[in-house]
Amino acid sequence: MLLTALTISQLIGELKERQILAQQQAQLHKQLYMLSNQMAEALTPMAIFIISRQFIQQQCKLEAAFYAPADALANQEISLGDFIDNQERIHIQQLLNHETNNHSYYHGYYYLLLQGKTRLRGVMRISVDNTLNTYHSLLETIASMVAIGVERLHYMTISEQQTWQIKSEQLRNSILSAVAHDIRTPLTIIYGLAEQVQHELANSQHQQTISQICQHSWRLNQMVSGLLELSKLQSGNIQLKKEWIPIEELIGSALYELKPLLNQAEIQLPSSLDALIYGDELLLQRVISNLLDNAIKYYDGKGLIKIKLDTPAHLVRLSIANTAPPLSVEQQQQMFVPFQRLQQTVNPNGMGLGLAICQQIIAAHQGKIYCHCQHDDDSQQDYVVMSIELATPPQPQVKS
Amino acid sequence: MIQSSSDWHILVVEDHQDIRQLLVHALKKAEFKVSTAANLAQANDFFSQEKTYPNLIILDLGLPDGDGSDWIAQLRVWCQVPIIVLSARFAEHDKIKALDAGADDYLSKPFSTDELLARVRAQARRLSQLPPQQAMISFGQFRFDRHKLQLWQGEQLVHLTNIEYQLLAVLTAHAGQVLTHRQLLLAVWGANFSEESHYLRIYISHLRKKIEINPTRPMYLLTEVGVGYRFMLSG
Repeated sequence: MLLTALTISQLIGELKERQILAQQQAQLHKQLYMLSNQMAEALTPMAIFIISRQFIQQQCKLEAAFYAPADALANQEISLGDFIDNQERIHIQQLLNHETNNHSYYHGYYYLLLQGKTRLRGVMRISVDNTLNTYHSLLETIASMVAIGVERLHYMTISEQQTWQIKSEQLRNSILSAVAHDIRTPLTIIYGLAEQVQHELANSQHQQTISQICQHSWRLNQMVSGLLELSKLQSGNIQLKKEWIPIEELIGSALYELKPLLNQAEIQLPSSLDALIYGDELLLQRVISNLLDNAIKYYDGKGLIKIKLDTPAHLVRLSIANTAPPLSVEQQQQMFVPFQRLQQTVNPNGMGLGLAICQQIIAAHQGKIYCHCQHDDDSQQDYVVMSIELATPPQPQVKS
Repeated sequence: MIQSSSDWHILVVEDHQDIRQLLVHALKKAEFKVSTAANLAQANDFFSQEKTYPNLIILDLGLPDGDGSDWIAQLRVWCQVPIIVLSARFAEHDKIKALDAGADDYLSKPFSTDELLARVRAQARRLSQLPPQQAMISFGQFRFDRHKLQLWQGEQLVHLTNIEYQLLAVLTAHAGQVLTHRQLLLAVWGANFSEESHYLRIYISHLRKKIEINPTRPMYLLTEVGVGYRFMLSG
């Protein structure tokens, strides 16, 4: 009897304990649910950190702090709590870089990683206490919720930024092409009228003024055309008319276009120009004449302008080199940015759109364009070399 | 036969008043007789009477009342009057369409007066030289017998393949004019090859190696980038 009574009371006691535990668990789940709701409403990573810190204080009576490095979120370092010395920073950095695996404890703190779906987003720091073990799994859950929440905000920011960027780019392009188009008609007229006056007043004292009007309106026309062309290329809906073209013909057309400039420099052609290139004739000719035009513009007056052609398997590489002082790596990359011109330009015509146009055209052909500097040991001269590389599919057969 | 420029009646079809005036002024200065039309409907009126019939048309491709290329094609059915089209730079598609429809040449805006007059005079020269037709045509040191298909460089006979002969014959027959890729492919290879532009380009490069001193800097067989070729007898 007694044994039975004892067993039953023990069982009841156990049952009650379990019931309390279950109630606590249910309560905790409810709290976690509310936490996740609050997090979903948060608008900034900081808000998520604050909500989580409060939750940990209330539920676990533990002190939490958060840290997200600049490279983990859209270039902004965020921290909540006091991360005092540099050493702790270094320790956190090591944790984030996975340089230390088993050093989650450090100077009385315990660190949990905020592991997002794609990458680490930061750390959560808990001050060590003897209740820590009890709440360990809860803290892990919170850490992963914080990571997901922060990551969600991060992606929202990025996609918003991108949408704006695309919208403003589109707007810019449509304004540009509308303006350029409307400017062209009056420019055609100004040029035409100035030219007529020039013919009619051939012996006038204003001859020089008139010829300047002619020159400048022509140049303005070229610039507007360049802008229009670049905005058309950047809008991305350019359709390539790809054909097999003899390189010799492309270079020949470029030389023909630049005829008035060719007495300024000696141009050395490769012994054979027999290769074919696969692409849009108009656009590729544009690239070659822009590159040659630049070579003549930046050429230092000594030596040659060299055109080189390499045709390794499935590739055509065309290089145009002019003697010029070496450029820094930064300068070599900068020159593809629209409106950038090298400072030592003697002849500051144009707007520096040429290489930006070339880059867009080559990108549309899935090719490469790059600049590098070379020292020629034989002639002791420095060259700036612009190269383009285009892939060549199998060549067509031509029956004779 | 037309003797001098004052006998020439040029019709300028251009909707923009200032550009129209610019053209008229330049052409009158060069002693051409000029009429104007602001659209295709007005241009049509000039074909209703013998005395207003133009000897040459300068046609803008951006007219408000219709597609210039369609208009050219319709005119070409019965009429061979030379047509020079005006178009914006980079509007290669429009140019090619107009040339394929039968236009003889094109000018890109903005153009210089010299360029305009050179194009107009080239058309005038071509027409006045048309009859009587000669089999022998010469350019630089070359003489080309189009009937016997023989090309002479001085006293030396130059060997050309059959296709190269055909190509040279078509090009020289339209000397001074722009021929589109499509027109040349149709004339030399036939309708099945009208899209095979690499045939044309490769044969042009062969031909250049035989008739040009420096094939990279041709004097006679010029490239019209994105459009076609133009043969210049005068080099």
